[in-house]
Amino acid sequence: MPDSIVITDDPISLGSNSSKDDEEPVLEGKFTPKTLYKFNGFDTEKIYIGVKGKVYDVSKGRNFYGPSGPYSNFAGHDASRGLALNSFDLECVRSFDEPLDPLDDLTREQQASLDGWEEMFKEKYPCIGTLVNEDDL
Amino acid sequence: MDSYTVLLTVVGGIVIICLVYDTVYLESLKDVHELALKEQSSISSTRKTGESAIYRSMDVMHGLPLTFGLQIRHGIYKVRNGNLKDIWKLALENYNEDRKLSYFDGKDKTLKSFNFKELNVNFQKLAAKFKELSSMPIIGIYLPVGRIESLSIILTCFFFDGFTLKNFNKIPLRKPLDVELICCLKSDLPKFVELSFKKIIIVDDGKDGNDENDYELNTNDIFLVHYSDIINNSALQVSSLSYDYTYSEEEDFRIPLIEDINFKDIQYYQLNFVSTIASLMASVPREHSWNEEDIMLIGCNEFDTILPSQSSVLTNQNLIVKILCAFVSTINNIIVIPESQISFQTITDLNPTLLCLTESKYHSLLNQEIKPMLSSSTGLIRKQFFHRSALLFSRGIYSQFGSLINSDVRICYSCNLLSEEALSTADINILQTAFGSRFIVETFKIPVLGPILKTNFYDYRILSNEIDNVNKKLKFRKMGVAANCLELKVKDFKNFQSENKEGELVIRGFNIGTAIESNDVQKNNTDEGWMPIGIYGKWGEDGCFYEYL
Repeated sequence: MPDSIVITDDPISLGSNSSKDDEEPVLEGKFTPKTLYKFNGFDTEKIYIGVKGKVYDVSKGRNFYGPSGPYSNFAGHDASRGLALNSFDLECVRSFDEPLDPLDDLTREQQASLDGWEEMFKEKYPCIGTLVNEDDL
Repeated sequence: MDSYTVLLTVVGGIVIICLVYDTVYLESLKDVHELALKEQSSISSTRKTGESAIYRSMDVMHGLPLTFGLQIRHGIYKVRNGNLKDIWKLALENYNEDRKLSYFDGKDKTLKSFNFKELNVNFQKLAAKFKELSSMPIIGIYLPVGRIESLSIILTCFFFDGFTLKNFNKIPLRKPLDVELICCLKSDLPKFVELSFKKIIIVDDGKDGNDENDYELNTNDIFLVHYSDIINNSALQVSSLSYDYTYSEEEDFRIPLIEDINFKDIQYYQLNFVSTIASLMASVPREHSWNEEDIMLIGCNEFDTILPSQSSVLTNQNLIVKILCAFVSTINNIIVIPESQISFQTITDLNPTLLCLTESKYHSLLNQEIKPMLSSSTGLIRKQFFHRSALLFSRGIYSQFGSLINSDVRICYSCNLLSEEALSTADINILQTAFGSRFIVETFKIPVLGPILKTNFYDYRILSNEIDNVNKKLKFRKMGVAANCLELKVKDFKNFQSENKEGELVIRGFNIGTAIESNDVQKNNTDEGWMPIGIYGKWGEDGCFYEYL
């Protein structure tokens, strides 16, 4: 090999996994309202929302779920009640320090609406885990 | 102005010119920006416990479908995946009498060329004979694929009358119930007669100079047919360019190939073929795609021996897939020669533009031809050109002026069969400089038809830290990114932690064969379609997979 050749640093040496946490793939698993809140589109590039106990990565729909998007209230939260009621209001979204909404007061129509949304999320976005109360971890 | 100022101005001028040359001009010559080589895979945003994220080629990023067919227009708005019959139809539609398939004739030690009309006539004659001899759709072969007779039989099964080819890598222990007709070499005839085969086609019909070994058949109930008699049969009226094929959905679900490897069967569907062909065609940037100017030279196994190894099976599959790709593209000439016959001289004589050889053949060309040329005392200027060209390659700049061979090779395909003779990135740098060509390494493993991984067309980087200085051995082998019809990830394996992006490679996609009955391949293929493939390594920060050696 000629001496003057240009050598590139090998990309697999120990310590070469230096990419930012933000670029690293997130481990699929259990989220709580608190751990989910981090992914609200303000603090990280990634945006997750909870729907019927599942967590979906909606980052590619940033225009809708990201800051100033029409559904931004749902980002980093359990969006089930809002979707069931077809309402984007903050009242429909519980805070991260509250327990999960049991959704046991939904009417049949609201439940059907929520199921429809769930189907859409399943088709469109990757499911990356489940949403549980902290006590259930 | 005193002489000191003049000298300073001249030196300053030279320094500025050198800087501009190095930082502006050479940078502008790079084929792609180095950032493109630092992110070669599309990586899923999430991963499961004990697994890495899912890696795909950038051509089929997450959110896009994997490549899975030839996308042939069907009606006005619909497209369909296509099948092998479409490929032959396409080849005949683009007929040109200059387009040829040339094969090495072991008897005469010469190349014999066939245009597509001649091939079509031979296929029709063979198909008629298969129909006459076999009441079953499966045609068995135990043949070296490095012969035109073998290839004609294989392609006849693919292109005509719904046959399925069953390719044995070892003589079966007992006669398979689903195979009535077997095609073999004359030397293997006694073994197949012993197995009670009643219908046999001999491809080297006693005219290859071994008449003294003629085998006497003791019974009259065996139909023994010589390949040459079928081909020379002028009584059968066939039209040279006619190909009776109208699309039916059933054809897409036919199984064209069963590989009987070490007495276990693996089925390959039409979708496996068309997906791997479509992926292969897409592995080259559009402006460099195969075209009518191209001549492809493919190295094959020996024409007279059947090697039972899995590497041999994969080499044969690669040969067939590349030939099918050549039929789809408008490539001018396909030349198939045993690798043992290929040297720099052969390459100069045949002047191919696309060269497909195994990694071990490139290794031997490197050690037996290129390195001696570089270490010889002659051709000082040529050597300087070579070194300059190698330097440019290492900086990401394609150049041809350092070539050591008088040929027009523009793409070298290296078939990586996971042998111990791995090529380092420094070796590849020497090879691509010597050929003045781009270099794509493709990784093969059973039961995948076609490559699992491929290296980037524009990736000429030489990597540091490749060699273990204590053992003087390569530590890892760069394998590149997933084929466009596959997605990959690694799983925890022994000490390898997927958290560190290392582990056993698992694959999912459209070119994976299916094992028949109870077989390890099928047993493992239960985890959401992910199948472990027995390759261990790590995902690099550049999105490429590196196999640990």
